[in-house]
Amino acid sequence: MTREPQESDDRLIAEDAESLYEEAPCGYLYTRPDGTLLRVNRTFLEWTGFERAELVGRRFQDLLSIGGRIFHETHFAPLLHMQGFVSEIALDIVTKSGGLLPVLVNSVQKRDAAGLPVLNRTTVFNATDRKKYERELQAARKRAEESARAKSELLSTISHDMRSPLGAILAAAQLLERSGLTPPQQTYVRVLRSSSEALLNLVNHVLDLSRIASGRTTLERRPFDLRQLVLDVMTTLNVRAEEKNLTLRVAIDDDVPDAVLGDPVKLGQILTNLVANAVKFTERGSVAVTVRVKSMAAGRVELDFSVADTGIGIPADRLPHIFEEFTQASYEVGATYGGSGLGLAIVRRLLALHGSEITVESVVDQGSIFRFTIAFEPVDAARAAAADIGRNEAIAGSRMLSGLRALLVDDNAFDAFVLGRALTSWAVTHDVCPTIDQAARQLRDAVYDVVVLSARTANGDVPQAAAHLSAASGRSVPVFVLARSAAEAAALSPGGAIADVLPKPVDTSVLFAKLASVPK
Amino acid sequence: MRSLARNNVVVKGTGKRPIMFSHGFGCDQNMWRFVAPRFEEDHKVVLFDHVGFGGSDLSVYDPGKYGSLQGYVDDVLEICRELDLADVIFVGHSVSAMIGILAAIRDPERIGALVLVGPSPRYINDDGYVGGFTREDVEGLLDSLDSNYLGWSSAMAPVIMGNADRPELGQELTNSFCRTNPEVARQFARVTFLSDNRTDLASVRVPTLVLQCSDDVIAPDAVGEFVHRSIPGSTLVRMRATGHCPNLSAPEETTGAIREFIESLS
Repeated sequence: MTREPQESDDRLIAEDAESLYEEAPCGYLYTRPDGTLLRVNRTFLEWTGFERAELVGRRFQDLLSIGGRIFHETHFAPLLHMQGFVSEIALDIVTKSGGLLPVLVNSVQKRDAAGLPVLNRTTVFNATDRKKYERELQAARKRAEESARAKSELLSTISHDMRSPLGAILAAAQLLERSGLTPPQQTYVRVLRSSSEALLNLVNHVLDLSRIASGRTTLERRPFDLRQLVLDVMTTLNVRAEEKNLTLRVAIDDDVPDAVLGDPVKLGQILTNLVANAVKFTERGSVAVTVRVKSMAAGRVELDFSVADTGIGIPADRLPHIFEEFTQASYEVGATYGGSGLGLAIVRRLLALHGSEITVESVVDQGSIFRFTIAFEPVDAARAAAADIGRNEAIAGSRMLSGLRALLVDDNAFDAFVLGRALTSWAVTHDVCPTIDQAARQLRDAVYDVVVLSARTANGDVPQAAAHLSAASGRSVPVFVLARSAAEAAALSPGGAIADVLPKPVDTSVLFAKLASVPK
Repeated sequence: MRSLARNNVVVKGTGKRPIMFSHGFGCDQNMWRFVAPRFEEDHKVVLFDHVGFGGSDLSVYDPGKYGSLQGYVDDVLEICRELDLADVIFVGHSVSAMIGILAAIRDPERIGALVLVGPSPRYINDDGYVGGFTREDVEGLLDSLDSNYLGWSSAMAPVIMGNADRPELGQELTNSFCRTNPEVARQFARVTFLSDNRTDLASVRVPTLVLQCSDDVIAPDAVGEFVHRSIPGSTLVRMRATGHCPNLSAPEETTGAIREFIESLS
């Protein structure tokens, strides 16, 4: 049975609303806009131990701890004025006995018809328990942070002390390699050297990371040639890619500025880590780097970078963790491929310095693609040229080598591209052939002053291939051989058709000097 | 134009003489939202956020540079240079009053007049000097800042999150009022409350107005008087407004006092 609400109900409710105000499980306060207390409920009095009369004429902020009072004046009051309310501000009230009562405070500002504030209504929640948990959480977090810091400092100190002896071991191994060893001895030295290199790499990563983590790393701003930087990174890693028969590809949009203002060392580190990883985890196929303009405005160009591979990929459940320190996709990955598990953590932190983030997409057994965006300031060409030594060398080169005709014999398209770029900058006209046979035909058909032959393309017998090509030209052109490594370069001595041997990656200034000696 | 993005600089107004508003500890340029518009008609109004606050570029925050007020002074003067401002009326609230004083001492060509709202050159009481706080007070405050990840400076987060039912406020809230990075707020509190710039006051050579509020916990009467006495030729105006932020609680009175001062300059 229902009945209409009656006047007596309203009275009962009004009375109860009054007692709800007084006895609610939170403190209710009315204050003037300047904080002067007008009305306080019983709950608040019980919590704080004050008598009603003791609070007359006092301001809400006078009841706060010193820190809270400053916070009230610098944060709470301004915020209340600006947005008309504040929610969930953590403060401490000083009780009558001098103890601190942690509270959460909500305030709403009431305004008159003209929009001027006339009254504040404040609700106070007792946050004693929450505060206790917060303190425990803070203490736990502080302990964890301190312990992590102590560990990374220890690691950094040890790493630093390891670097000098490692450098000595590497140098000794390199000397040993050139000292006429028997084939088994050569194998031992190679193991010695590659293990020390891996260790040095790990140590350098640990040091990089601890330097970034300590906040000692800052971004530099200087002009650099972005295309050259990307190519330098790729050239360095091409040696490793070549060992695995992988193709390296670079695509840089034409509208990407040649020179930008930024931190070339950090960008180089980011790309090196990503490309080295891609090469490491790819057994077949290719690694491709692209650079595209995302947006261009006055004084600011945003570039999208991507590094894609056709490698083993990363399982979806491991993706969120690969940027964590000392993390690899799985134990097996660590065991099979080695490495520090720090490369991607370094990349992530270096990008954070740029205010950027890395994203990754991956399909197991198909490959991964890493993407990031960095903003640079474009630099006009004249200013860049002044800062760019390579360009000056190119200008000098165009006078010295201009008119020289070269034939590049290299089945590695990337190497041929990079070398071709250098030759073009020196005004050397050139053609590229990917096989010995094709090169021989080309030499019969056209006239060249010099042949640059990749030892890999010669496929085994380099001296014979050189002799074959030189003979095909009909005029005994000198053949410069590009060896796969310093060791191979040492094993191949000049003589016969071989004018000289240079190790890959090619030091362009050395090649420049060699070519300058060729008669046109 | 590095500093303009870094400090989220906003230039408004149709007048010639530049007036620059600099916010104090704990907030951002929104602090001036009731005062600055009233100068747009006859001034070039320049607003900005100190690095670490509001819409500034947090990525350039360098604890070394901002470990003293001079880092903030560098930024103010760099903004003036990049906007090619001269003879600026610099209105600084709270700790920004000291930033303005140091800027005016270093480059009085750029900073031509000072309006100091609730200034304090030294917050801690010291041998006859009344700053309003004891060393224990300030150390207690800094301790609580150091240990309080969740309370103090990050207390703003729940305000933003707590507005799911008022989506019309969401956008503005997440983007505007008093955004502060906790780490930055902690260091800025340290720089603000531990610095002592009393001896710098005598070197000020530009016309200066001191605005002193009633009942200002942060900068009590005695401090305003000290600043007035120490800066040669300065004017002291005691305001009816109470608290530390007359720019918000009494924009009319604040605007009136600044206007009267500007008129007295010409």
